[in-house]
Amino acid sequence: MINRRELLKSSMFLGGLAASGIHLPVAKAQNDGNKTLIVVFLRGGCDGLNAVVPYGDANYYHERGQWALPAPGDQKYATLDLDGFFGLNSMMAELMPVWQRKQLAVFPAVHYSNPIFSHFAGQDRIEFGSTRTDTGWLYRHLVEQHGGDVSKLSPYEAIAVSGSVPRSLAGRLVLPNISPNMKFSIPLSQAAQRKQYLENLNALVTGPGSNSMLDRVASQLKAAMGAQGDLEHLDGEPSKAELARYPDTEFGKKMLTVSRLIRMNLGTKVFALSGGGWDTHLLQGAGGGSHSLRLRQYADAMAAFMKDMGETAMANTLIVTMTEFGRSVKFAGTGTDHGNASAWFAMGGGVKGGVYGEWPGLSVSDQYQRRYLAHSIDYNDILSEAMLYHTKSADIEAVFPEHQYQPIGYLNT
Amino acid sequence: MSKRNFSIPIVSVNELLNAHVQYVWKPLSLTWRAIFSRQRLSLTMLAAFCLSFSTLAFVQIGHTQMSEHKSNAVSIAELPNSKQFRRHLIARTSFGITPALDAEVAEKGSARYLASQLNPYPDGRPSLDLPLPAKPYARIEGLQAFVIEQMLESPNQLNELMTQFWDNHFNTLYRKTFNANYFELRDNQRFRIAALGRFRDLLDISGKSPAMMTYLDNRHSTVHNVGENYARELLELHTMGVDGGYTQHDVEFVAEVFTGWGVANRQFRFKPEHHVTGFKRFQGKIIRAGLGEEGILEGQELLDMLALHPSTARHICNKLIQFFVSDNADSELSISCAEVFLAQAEDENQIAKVIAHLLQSSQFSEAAAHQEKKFSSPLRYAVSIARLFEINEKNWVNRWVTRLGMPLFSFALPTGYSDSSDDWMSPAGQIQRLRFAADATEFAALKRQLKSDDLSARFVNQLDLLSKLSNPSPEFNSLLRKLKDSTNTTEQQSILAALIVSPEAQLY
Repeated sequence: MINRRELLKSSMFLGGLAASGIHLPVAKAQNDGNKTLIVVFLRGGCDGLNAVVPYGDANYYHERGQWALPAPGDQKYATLDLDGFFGLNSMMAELMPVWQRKQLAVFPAVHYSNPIFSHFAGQDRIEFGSTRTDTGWLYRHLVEQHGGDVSKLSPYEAIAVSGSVPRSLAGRLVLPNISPNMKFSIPLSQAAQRKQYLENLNALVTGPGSNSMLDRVASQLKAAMGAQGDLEHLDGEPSKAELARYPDTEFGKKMLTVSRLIRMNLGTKVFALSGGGWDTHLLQGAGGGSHSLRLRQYADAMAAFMKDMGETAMANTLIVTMTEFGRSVKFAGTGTDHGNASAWFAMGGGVKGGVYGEWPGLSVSDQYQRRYLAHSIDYNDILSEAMLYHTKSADIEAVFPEHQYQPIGYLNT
Repeated sequence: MSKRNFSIPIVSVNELLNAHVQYVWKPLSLTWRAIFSRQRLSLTMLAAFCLSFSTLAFVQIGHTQMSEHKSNAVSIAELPNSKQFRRHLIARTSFGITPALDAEVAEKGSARYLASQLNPYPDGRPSLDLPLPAKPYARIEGLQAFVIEQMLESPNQLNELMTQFWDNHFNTLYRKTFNANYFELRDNQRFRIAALGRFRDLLDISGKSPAMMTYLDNRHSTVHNVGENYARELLELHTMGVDGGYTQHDVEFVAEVFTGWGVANRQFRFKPEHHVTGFKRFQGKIIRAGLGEEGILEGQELLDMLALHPSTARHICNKLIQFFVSDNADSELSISCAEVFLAQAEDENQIAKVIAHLLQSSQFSEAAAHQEKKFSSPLRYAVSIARLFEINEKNWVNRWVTRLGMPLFSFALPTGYSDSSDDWMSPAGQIQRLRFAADATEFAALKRQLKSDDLSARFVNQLDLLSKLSNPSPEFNSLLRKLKDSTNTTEQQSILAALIVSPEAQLY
C-alpha cells in the first residue's frame, strides 16, 4: 500500500489543482468502503416537537394550540407525512427524498435519565457521553479504534469543522479544527520565496530517521509539508459550481467544507460540526417562524451534501444529528423553555429508514414532570449503534463506560 | 438530589466512634503523620477524642486560622554554572531565551539568577484582595493579549511561567463563565501574585473564583440539587490526583461541603440557604459543621486539609516535575519534592521553595547535561520565537497562539492544557507552525532588519542560541552556514523561516 504521506510528499510542489476551481471527484477512498461519520450538534436545545410533529396525537394540538402545525394536507405549513402519525415540518421538505429512499431514521423522543436543563452541562452530558468529564465520546471512539494507543491517530483522522474543538473530541491530545475561514497557505508574499522556504525545509527534515525527539519532530514536519500542499486548496474560494450546490448559510458553508475535505482524501473518519440559534425562548413561531426557518437551513444543507456526495459515497457515510434537549411542551409566551426529550436524526446509505422508539405521549400525565416530552430512546444507544455497525467498534464499553447498550436496529448490520 | 440533609446536626454514636478511630488511631499510621503534625488538626483531634466520650449532640470546635506567614526569602546556595547548564536553566524557567537574558545569567551566574527569579516581590507580595478590574476587556482577545504581553516582556519570567501554570491548573472556560473578563482577569492577576507563594492561597483564589464557581456549576449546587462537578475536580485535578485515595463517598460529602459557594453581584458569595447543613466526613474525618453563615468554614477547613494532604503534595509535585524537569517523572524526586511541599506548607514562599528543590536536584542537572528536551507547546513556541526576535506585538503573538491550537482561557476540559510533549507533537500541529514561521519573517520589523547590513551578525547570533539549546542536527548547522553565506535578502528570509520552524527551534 502506498503511504499517504509519501504520496503527499511527491505532489508537494504541484499545489493549485483544486484552487483553480476544478471539481474533484469524491475521493476514491470514500467509495472503497472507508467509513465516514459526521456528527452534527444543534446547540441551544432544538424543539423536536416542531421538527418531527406527532400530528396523530390529539394532545399535541391541545398542548401546542395556535403554535401547532397542521396534519398533512393542503393547509399552509401542513406537515409532510412520515408514517401516518408523525410528519416532518414542511420546511424540511428537502429531506423527504431521503426519507423516501429509506435512508432517514427519525428518533422523535431521545434523551437520558436524570436530565440536565442547563445548555452547557446538557451539551457536556451528551458530548462527554458520560457523567464524567475527562474525555469526549468521539475522542474515546478514536482511541478505541487504535486499540487504546492515541499516538496511532493519523493527523486528520478527526476534524472539527468549527472555530474550536467540541467537547466530544476533547482529550489530552488536541485534535485539529478547521473552520471555513481558516487559512493554510504559506504567508510569504512571493511565490519564489515560498518555494525556497519549502526547499530549505526539505533539506532540514531529511535526516536519518531515529527515535530522538528531534527526528520525530522532523518526520512530523515532513508529513505536515505534504498535507499543507493539499489543505491550502481550502484557502481558495469555493468554485461557482461548488457554491451553487450548497445553500448560502452557515450550515451550508460548513457542509461544503466537509465535502471539500472529503475530496482531499486526508483519511478523515470523523467530522464534528455544530450550528447555533436553537435556544428559542422568544419568537419561536410556528410554521413560518424562526425555528422552522432554522430547520430549513439545516435540512437544505444536509440534502445538498448528500446530493453532492452521491449514492456511492453516501453508502459509507453516516450523519447523526443531535441536540442537548428539547423544549417545554407548552409555549411560554412566544417561545419555549428548556425541556427534556427531543428529536434526533440519522441519515446515510447504511440507515434503515423509519421512525424509532415508542411515542411517550403528550397527555399531561405522560409528560416528564408534567411539562416535558418524556424520552423513549437513550442517546447512548443511537451512538453505540453507530459505533457497532457503522465504524465497527469492537469495544463500545470503552466509549460508553456507564451505559448498558439496548439495540435499536436503525442501521443495516 | 442531596444524599444527606440533616436539618439539625446530630452526631450519631457511629460517627462519634468513627471520629474516635479516625482522630485517635489513624494518626499512628505513617501516611497521616504529616497532616496531624499540624497544631490546628491536633486540636481537632483532641476535641474529637473528648467528644467520643461525651453525649453532646452539637459539635463546636473553634476555627483557627492558619498560622501567621513567615517571611523567608528563598536562597540558592550553589548551582552548576556551565554555559550548557545556564541555557538549560533559562529555557526551563522562562518563556524563551534572548541574547540579553543569556548575557544577564552569564554575568550573575545560575544561582544568583535563579534566586532573583524565585523572589519576584522583594518588597513584599501585593495583597490578594484585588477589586474587580475597573475596565475589563470587551473581548477575549484583549484578555489573552494582556497575558501574552506579560509573557513577552516581564523580567519575572519564572513568575509568569507559574502564573500560566496555575491559571491552567485551575482551568476555567471563558465562553462558559459569562462576564468572564472581570473574573478571568482578576483571577489571573491573583495567580500572578501567589504564583510562587502558598498552595493554600492558590486553592482559595480558585475556590472563591466566580469563574470557577460558574465553570464547574457550583453556583447551581444547592441543598435541593447537590452538584458534584466542582468537588470531583477539586479532588481529582486541583489537589489529590485521580489516584489520591479518596472515594465516591468522599466526593459526595465534599460536594455537600461546597453547597452555597456561589456568586452574587459579580462577587464570590456564600449562600447559607443553599448549604447542606449537618455533618460531613472526608476520608472518615468529621468536618466541623457550620451553622448559617459559618457554613463557609466547612469548605475552608476542607481546603486546609487538602492543602496539607500527602496526595496533594505528590500530585502537585508530579506536575511541577513534568513542567520543569522531565516528562518522565522520577519517583525519587517526587518523594523528596512532596516532603518539601508539606514541610513548607505554611511558608509564604512554599512553591518557590519546591521549585528551588527541583532545579537544584541532580535529575535537573542531569537533564541539562544530557540535553534532554521537551517539545514546546504552541504557547511556548510562539512566545519564545517572538522573544528571541524581539517581535513585541502581543496581538500578533496571540493570534498565532490561537491558530496554533492553544487559545488561552478557551480549553474545554477542567484538566487544562496538557504539559506532556507527546500530546502536542503532531503533523497537524506542524502545519500551522509552518505558516507561523513564514509569517514571523514577514514581520515588518524583522524584514527591515533583514535588509540592513548587519543581518548575519544579528540573526546568526540569535539562531545560534537556538542551536545551543538542543544539539542541532548537521542539517540545521549547514542551513545556518547557508544563512551566514547568503547575500540575497529573499533567500535569507526563506532560510530564516526554515530555521524558525526547525525541530531545534521547537524544543526547549
